[in-house]
Amino acid sequence: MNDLRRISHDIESEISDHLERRVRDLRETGLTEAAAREHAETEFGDVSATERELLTIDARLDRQRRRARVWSGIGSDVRTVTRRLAGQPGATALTILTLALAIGVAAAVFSIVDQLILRPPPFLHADRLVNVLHQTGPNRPGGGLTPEKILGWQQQFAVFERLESYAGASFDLTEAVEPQQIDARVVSLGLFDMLGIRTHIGRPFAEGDGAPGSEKVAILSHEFWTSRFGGSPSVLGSHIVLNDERYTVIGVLRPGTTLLTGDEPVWLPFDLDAWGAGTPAYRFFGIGRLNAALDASQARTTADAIAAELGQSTPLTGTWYLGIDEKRSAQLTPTTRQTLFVLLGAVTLLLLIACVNVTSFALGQTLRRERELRLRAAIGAGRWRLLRECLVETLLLAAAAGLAAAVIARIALAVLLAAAPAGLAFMTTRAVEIDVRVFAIMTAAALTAGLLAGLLPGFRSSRVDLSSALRDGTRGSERGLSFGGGIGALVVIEVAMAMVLLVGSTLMSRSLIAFHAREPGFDVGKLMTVEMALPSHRYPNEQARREFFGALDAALRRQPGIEASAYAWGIPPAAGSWLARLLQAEGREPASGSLEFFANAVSPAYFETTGTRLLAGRAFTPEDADDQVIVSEAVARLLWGDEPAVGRRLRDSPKDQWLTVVGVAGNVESRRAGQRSDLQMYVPLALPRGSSVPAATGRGRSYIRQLLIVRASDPALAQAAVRQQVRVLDPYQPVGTFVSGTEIYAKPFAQQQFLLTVMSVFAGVALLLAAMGIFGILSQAVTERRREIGIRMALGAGSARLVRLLVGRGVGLAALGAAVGTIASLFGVRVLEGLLFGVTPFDAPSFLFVVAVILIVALTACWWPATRALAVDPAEVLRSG
Amino acid sequence: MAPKEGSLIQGNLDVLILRALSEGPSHGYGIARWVHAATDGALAIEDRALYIALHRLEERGWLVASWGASENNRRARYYRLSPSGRRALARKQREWSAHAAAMCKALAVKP
Repeated sequence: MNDLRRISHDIESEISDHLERRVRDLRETGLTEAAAREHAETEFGDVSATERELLTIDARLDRQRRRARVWSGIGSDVRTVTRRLAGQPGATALTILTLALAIGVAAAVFSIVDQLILRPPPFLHADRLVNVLHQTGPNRPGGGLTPEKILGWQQQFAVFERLESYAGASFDLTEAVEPQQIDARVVSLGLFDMLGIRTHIGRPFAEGDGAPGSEKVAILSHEFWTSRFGGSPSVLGSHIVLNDERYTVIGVLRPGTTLLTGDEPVWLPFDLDAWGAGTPAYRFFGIGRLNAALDASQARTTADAIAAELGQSTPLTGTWYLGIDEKRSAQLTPTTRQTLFVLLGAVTLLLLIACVNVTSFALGQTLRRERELRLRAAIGAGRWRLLRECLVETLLLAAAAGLAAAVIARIALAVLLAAAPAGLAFMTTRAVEIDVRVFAIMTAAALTAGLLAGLLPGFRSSRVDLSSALRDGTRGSERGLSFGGGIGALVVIEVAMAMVLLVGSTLMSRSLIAFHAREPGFDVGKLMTVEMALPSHRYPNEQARREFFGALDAALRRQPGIEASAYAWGIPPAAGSWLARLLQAEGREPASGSLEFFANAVSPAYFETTGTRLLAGRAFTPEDADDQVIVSEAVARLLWGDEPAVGRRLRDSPKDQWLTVVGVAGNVESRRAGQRSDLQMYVPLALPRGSSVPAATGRGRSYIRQLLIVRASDPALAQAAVRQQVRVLDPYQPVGTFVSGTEIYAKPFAQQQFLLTVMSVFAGVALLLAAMGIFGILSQAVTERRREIGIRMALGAGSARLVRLLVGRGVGLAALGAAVGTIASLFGVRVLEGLLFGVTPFDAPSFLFVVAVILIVALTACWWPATRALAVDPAEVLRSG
Repeated sequence: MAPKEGSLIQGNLDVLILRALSEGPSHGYGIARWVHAATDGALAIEDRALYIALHRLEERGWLVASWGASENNRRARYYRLSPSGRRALARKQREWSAHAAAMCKALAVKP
């Protein structure tokens, strides 16, 4: 009978009851049955209208009552579950905490990856923005564009709706307390408009700015404006002096505006249409907005076809090919991307492990209460009610974890961003923050895992029939004998995933140990370097530059604490030039393949300054010409074996001149893309032509860049001395950024160090979770099998056998997990390739070490349950059973 | 109990029902009889209005209804006061006394 029918039936019987009584009373006064009935009904009024009205009231009441029942049911479930969870505060807190930790950290890492890699930058039509480079042919490496190419491509609307460009240039900012070399972004007039970049105060660039003969104007970045001009609005209309030319400040950009191209303190306009002879030759980079009909790969195909046509019609301007890539919100090196993805993988594993942990916790809960649940089902507790309890339990756990995770996520993000090395510097167009959506997804994932675990046993126990429940009730749970059924499988999965993380962090540890154990071959700790860039207009010729550097050298050597100084292209391990050439010793066949070696041009004092040992021959002298060379021991051995190398000749390509070896230097640590090479060649640094780094050009001038290397007892103190001596020699000469030898040396490994730290934490937590899983199921098994254990002991089973049984089971699960984990790791560690140093991804000792750790942890986790099993008193168990 | 002109207004009917049930649980017919007797037949209750009032009071939570067997073994719906119904009765009795006293005073009649 449905509810409305029941209600209306009730109303009918109530009214008919009333009428019956009235009829009876009236009959007693002497009326006939028929007369009494008619009288009663007239007296009552319209019966069916009354019934309708009562039905409305009662139906409404019924709905209210039902809602209240559901809520009070849930309320009582919450109370029941809360009591139960509070009854085991340790396990509950641990579950919530691990889940919260995993969700929090995962949300932080996912937010970083999402916002740095996956999402487009905050520009207009960001989904159609592309970086555009010039290419010498299809699929060739890209480079800068000329204004001519940009103007040409701006007309190709089949590919670009709009195409704008920017270039970088260095300027000397003078007329200030201390001259400073700054980077400026030179941008085409439409760039700000296309990207939607707006000014904070003042105006953006407009038609006519940057044209020859017009007033020179500049826009400042918000950061530069704040730090250099104190954020004063009076900066508008004032002047700054760049390369001795006055620029009027017309605007300040909004905070955080960046094209992701490094420091961008000053922005200058460039009028592409006014391009012609006499304007500086910038290397332009394009930013394009693709035609709405194309995606990036279609754009590339179309652009290639157009480039081929243009190339034929304009044979003199070179190729028109373009490199087209989607613009992202962060400019990341491949290593940084790899690092982030490894982190992402690690944190995903951690989250999975935490989910498995919650699942096994919920499973364990239900299994432990299985007998109770079955009894309740048998005595008529509704199936829905049992299910609801399981659901409520999981939801409560997940909700608590979600709340805690919200806090943890913020902390984790702050720690990750703060701990990230400079190499991971997240150059980004937006402040990275915890993404609510990401957070919601994480919590939902954990919730789903918990719900599945909560529902499965709920269904099972709600489906039991009376007889089996009672049978089990008298015999004790059969399920306990199989060690928690599905939990065993979960533990195996958990151990396997923990193993992957452990292998990863062990490999990273070994890399770092190898890194710290290596021999630099020079005195890293005593060096301070700074780049000196002499502008061509003040130092127009070799003589002037030689005099400046010579005087600076002499002045520095007189300073207390400074032991030596020299100039070079760079210092190891990476700041030099890498050449891949066919090395050939005179009188021998050229090498079969080209070899990569580290090439450095150095001044005579370089070896003394850096502490690079000379094993044979001599250092350079000022008189050495460029056909002389110093090679590392490894090169000498490669070309001449044990024979002395000094005086021999070599060349690095069959077409080049022969170079005479004047000295053999000790091997130093040099590396490229993580790979160490001991092959090094030094040539004399020739100051006049010394611009190995292509000189970035400001307006009408060029720079000769040299790396000044100072050897000092305290490198930090050398900075002030260098600044002071440069000012004495030339008050207009800017000094670059100081970088210590230690920093340079550690830089290639900063990311590994960071990854190692993070992965070690993840791996540690994972191991802990796996250990908890093993511990949990063994303790539970002991609890459930108390009776059986008691009986066995009463029957004379040795305690050794019992311990063997328990420990064997625990360690067996761990071993199975380790086996699965080994296979998974063999696939997983591939992602670490390139981040490792001195160890291969498939390093057997690392794998063995991790397996050993897992087994030891598993043994430890077995210990306590085993002692508890031994403490079972057979007499007591038998009595209570 | 024939319907009469100017029957009881809603609030008065409610308070009479509550008062009737303060004597003990009863069914609708019993309440009608009690009112008839207690007021010497001066106040007539329309049956239809009585039942609607009963169900409304139940919805309001002042009455609790339950099914029981009547004297002749039929199903009868019994009402009793809930605690909040009891409080409501006390409140309404105070209000009525004050109201009646004020009316009597105004009309210069000794109560």
